[in-house]
Amino acid sequence: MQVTFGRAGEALVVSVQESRLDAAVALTFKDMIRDAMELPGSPVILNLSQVEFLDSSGLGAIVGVMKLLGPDRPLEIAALSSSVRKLFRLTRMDTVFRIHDRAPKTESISAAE
Amino acid sequence: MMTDRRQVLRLECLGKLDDIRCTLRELDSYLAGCPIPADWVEDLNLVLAEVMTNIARHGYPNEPGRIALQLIRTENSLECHIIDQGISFDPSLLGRIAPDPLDLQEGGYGWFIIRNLTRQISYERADGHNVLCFSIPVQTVN
Repeated sequence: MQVTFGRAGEALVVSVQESRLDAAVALTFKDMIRDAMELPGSPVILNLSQVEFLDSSGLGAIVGVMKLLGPDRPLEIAALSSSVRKLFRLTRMDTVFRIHDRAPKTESISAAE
Repeated sequence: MMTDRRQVLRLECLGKLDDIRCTLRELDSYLAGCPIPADWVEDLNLVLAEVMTNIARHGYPNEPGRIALQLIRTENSLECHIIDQGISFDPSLLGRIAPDPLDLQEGGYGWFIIRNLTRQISYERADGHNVLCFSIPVQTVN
């Protein structure tokens, strides 16, 4: 499980470098974001362009991250594959998150593994 | 993983999240090489992930046991049989109500997803085995 962090203007961009965000890695994913909470930037944009598969545990972890960030740092989602978009629509989570069609261009700040 | 002339695919894995992930990744690449619509493969992968994760978490909470899958391709659907020897459960009341997105639940979506993407769900407890069957139609979501 690898996540990279970048900056796009005021936003912190979190890019998941993993093709499956599923039950086996959901907790690790949430812990990695929790460990990176001190990185500045708002909103936080979660770039899912590498994620081809998301299950309900992965979705639950994304909701958990949104709650960790709190109301002052909104979590937005970017670059959903067709199957990931389908899960957001089915669970109506597409009404909760602002969703960007594409990932923003980022400047690199650091990488965590 | 093997197929025969009736287009039956059987596979087996351990009810552990890492094993399930590997098995579904393999299934995905296998099915990618078959003449099956991508939508169908995506729905199947998601439903199997939800069912098998439930088995790992609730069926085998202490020691992971085996999960056996049988997938039978028919003209318009894919029939799935999932068998495990974990704790029995009653799916009849699960997933009937859509979770309210504004509740920001971190769980509880699994059976709602399973019900929405499948047809003809049946469950039976026989000889210490849970046998869950359902079919996935070719066109499932709106």
